[in-house]
Amino acid sequence: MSNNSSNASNASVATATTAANSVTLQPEATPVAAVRPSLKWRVVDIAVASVIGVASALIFWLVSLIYSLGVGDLIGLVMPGFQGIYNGLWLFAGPLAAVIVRKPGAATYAELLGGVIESLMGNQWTGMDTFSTSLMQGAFAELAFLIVLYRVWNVPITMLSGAFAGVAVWLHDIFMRGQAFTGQYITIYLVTSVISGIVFAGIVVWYLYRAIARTGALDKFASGREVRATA
Amino acid sequence: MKSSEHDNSSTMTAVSTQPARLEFHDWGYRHASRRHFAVRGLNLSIEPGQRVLLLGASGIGKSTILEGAAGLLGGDIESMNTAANGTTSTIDADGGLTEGSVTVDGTPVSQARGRVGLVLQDPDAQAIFERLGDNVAFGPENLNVPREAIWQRVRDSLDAVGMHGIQLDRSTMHLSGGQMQRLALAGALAMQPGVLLLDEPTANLDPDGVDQIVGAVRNVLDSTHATMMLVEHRAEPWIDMIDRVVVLGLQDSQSAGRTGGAGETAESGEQGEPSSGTVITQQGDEAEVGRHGDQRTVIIADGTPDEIFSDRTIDFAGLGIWLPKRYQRPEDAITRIHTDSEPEYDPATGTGEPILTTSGLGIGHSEDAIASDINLAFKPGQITALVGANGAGKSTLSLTLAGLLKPLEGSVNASRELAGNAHGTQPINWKSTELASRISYVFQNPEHQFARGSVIDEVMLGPLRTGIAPDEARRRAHDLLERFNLSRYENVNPYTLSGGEKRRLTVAAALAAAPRVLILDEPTFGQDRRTWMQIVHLIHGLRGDGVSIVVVTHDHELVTALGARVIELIPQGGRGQWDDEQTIRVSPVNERHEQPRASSRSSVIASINPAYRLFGALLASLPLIFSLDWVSACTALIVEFLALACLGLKPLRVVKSTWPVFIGAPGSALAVLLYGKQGGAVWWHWGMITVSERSAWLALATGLRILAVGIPAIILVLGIDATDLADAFSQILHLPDRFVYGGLAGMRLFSVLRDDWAALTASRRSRGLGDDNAFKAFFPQAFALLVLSIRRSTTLATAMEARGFGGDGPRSHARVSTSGTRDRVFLVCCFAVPMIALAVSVWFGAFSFFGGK
Repeated sequence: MSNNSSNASNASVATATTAANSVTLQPEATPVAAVRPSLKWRVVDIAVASVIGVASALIFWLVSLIYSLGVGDLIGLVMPGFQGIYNGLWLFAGPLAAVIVRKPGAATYAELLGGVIESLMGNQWTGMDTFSTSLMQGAFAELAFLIVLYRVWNVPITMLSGAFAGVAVWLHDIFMRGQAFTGQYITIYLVTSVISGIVFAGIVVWYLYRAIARTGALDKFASGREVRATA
Repeated sequence: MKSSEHDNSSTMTAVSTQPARLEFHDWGYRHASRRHFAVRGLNLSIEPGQRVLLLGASGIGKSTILEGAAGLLGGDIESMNTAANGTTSTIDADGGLTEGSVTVDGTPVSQARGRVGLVLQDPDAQAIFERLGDNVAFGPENLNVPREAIWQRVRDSLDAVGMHGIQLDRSTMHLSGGQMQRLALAGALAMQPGVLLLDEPTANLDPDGVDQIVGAVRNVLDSTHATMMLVEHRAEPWIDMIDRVVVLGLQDSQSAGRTGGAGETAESGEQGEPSSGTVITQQGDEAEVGRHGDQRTVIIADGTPDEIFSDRTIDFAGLGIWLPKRYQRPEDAITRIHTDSEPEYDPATGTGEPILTTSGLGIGHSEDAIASDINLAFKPGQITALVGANGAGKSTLSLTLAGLLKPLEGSVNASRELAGNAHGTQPINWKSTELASRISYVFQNPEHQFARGSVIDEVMLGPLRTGIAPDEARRRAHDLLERFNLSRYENVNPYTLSGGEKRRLTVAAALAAAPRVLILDEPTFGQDRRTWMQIVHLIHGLRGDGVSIVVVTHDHELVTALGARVIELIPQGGRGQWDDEQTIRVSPVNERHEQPRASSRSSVIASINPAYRLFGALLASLPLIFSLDWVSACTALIVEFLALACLGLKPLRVVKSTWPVFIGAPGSALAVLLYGKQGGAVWWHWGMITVSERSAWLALATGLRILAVGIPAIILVLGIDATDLADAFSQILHLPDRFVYGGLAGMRLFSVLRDDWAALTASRRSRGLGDDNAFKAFFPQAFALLVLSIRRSTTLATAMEARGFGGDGPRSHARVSTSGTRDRVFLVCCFAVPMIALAVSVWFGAFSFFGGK
């Protein structure tokens, strides 16, 4: 992880410089009245949300492959219910698309697309199961941003989104595969899933988005301009 | 299709094929997060049928002008304001600011969808879908052209660009650059535009590709008489069809003094770098023009090619333009570069003993070698050019030389001097850090190479990884940044530099580890004449360091300027295009016919509409969830295997296709056995583990049910074609086209991303990052991939909007997604499986609602 951390520290220096070079976004003439950002999807919003879904599908598929090679079951057998800590790795697409694109439905769309493509590639939960679980995960992740009416974009809300997605994956798994387990097992599975969601689909997602924005790749988005304009 | 239908259909369409008038009125645009306008106060009028070449220094805003003319800028207005002097400006959702207007035949361009067609520089970025024909059909679909008319337009457009009779469902993956670009042109033509805008359409093509696209454009203009506006640094092949040349410059609002932008400031030094007087106030994708304050974009020259190109007062070299041959003055011609500091020996021969040789080398990406028995030698101070057509295998050879691709036969051998204390003499066997200090590789796409968050760290990476002390690494990096004129960007994020700056940075970073061999893949690709000069001088300057340089290129001027030795890769049976010293025979570039792949191993399942297949999978599996008992699960499994056998899928085939569930099911069953609900006799107890009679039955039921749910879910969905599924989502389920086809376009990027991943892996090895363990290496590389993919998707959005996608109006569909009685019968059959299973379970009294009693 040394690359990551050095990236982050260097990048913060870079942002400071960029900010110094940077600009008032207002025209020279009269200041523009603050407007509420449009909630209408542009083509570029759809394209970027789609590609987040596509890239996530590749990662989901790898994660599923590793899990199916026994990793998941092994954790589950040694520490019952603790395989939930793995779940966050399937949950990041929705919150990531949401914090970047900032349009209603972005989380649901990206997570669902990731799931559909993953299932077309083939995995052990393929087909309808992946479809329904990714739809639920996306919709639950969406809920956090809906509660604040798509106006607040920060770490706590993203963490909440990750937590909700964790609840979704738990609910779906227990319903589909875990009806026979004891209450204790089901509780542990809930707690680990939510923690994993908060970490991987919340905190990691937020800092991932900031790092992407620093490369200038998100200049067409309010989310990207916010990072580039402030240090 | 009969010709009478064709005639009908063209009258049915609303789009006119009349050449249109294009006008800019005080037009300006400032991109998000930029201090200065890219274009401001532009007044330009282009008459119907005119063929205009637009010239101006890099960064003057030529691409912005074309995007504005194509209606891609300033949409989705978020706010509007009026300045004191009465001019109105708007801010769009992209964060850009627009002033003035652009009209087509008097209509604002944003309301004239389809009247303007745009072809961009990068052929890969303009293919939107997997299948060739669908890309051409996309524009007409967005213009709501009736289905029958669409396919006629597709065929006509492909004919016009010389792709007559090409297989329409062929994958765009296997097209050459020239073919891809002709496909992009056909896609624009199918919209029957009155204005055709071409933004450096040949910059990324080899000479053969250039001929293809120029010929295609000429045919098209001769038959449609459309208005054309072309941005191109190399005007030579186009000059005969141009009837007007417009040269752009900047003017201060206050003073009347005119400036040709970078023309006056650049290229005064020997190194071809901007002189110290140049103020670069802006960084970004194309911004090397010195700008200050309130400047307007003005036309500094306007006339016929003869008038403009004979005008001695215009500094074409400074504008980054290659003058067409017939207008060249002696000082414009590219000749061998000579500097005082260069060594005496000829760059084509180098000096001393070879430091890198190949013996009996066979190269290729798969098992089949595309060329074998290659014997080459590379000496210090020597410059070698690897030339040949796109796809001939130049990159394959150079990657093999660089120790990034495994030789299929024979070997690449380093001299004792080069190898030193590395592991052996074959670069492919060296550790990544050993490689980085010996052979460096500069990739064609700089973004494949970036690994750090700031310019200085990027340059320090190589030295640090190869064991040089931080102080020395920093000193070395400072020197290189100074030499490459990048010092002021030390703390800037590499991704935010302009195209020319990015390329200079990648060369600086490659040199920092002090390699003895430097390989550059297409270093002058897509560069204007100014940046080109900078790069050429830079490569020339390395000769004095005794580095052996290999350039992969098809740029004749580059070879001339460097005085390089030429090694040409020629397909079997083909003829060489170069005056070479050495040739390598490669197997011909494959022109294969592709068989469409069946969407299921069962012909019955393959014939069902994809949307129904998804729902069938849902109906066949989901109801089983209601009861957790072994009877229903077992019954369902038996019925499923019987049904699939009837559909032509033997049990063994079913198991092979669904193997992951056969691993997942026993695992879940074991977990339930140990941690499931207890009841009846307790057989074993230890900590949280309790194995009881009930948990054993539940385990059996869970395992069987996972199989019963999983098998139909996988078999029915496996192999569905993404395009067919998207069509079904759109036409059967009536989901919004914006999202369905936006998602489908994103999926095409998937295969592009796979290639990106391979390039990232190679570049990381080349830079000394390849020795980290897989886990540690994965995350930074995944981050680089994500950034690349987001950049690609914003370009994709531009390409889609240029085809009229994203409007609120109705769209037509070129492909039909049908469903009928068979599909409905299929759904009933799917639903019958769990119903039979649950009925049997109730009959035997085994039904257990959600596993409860």
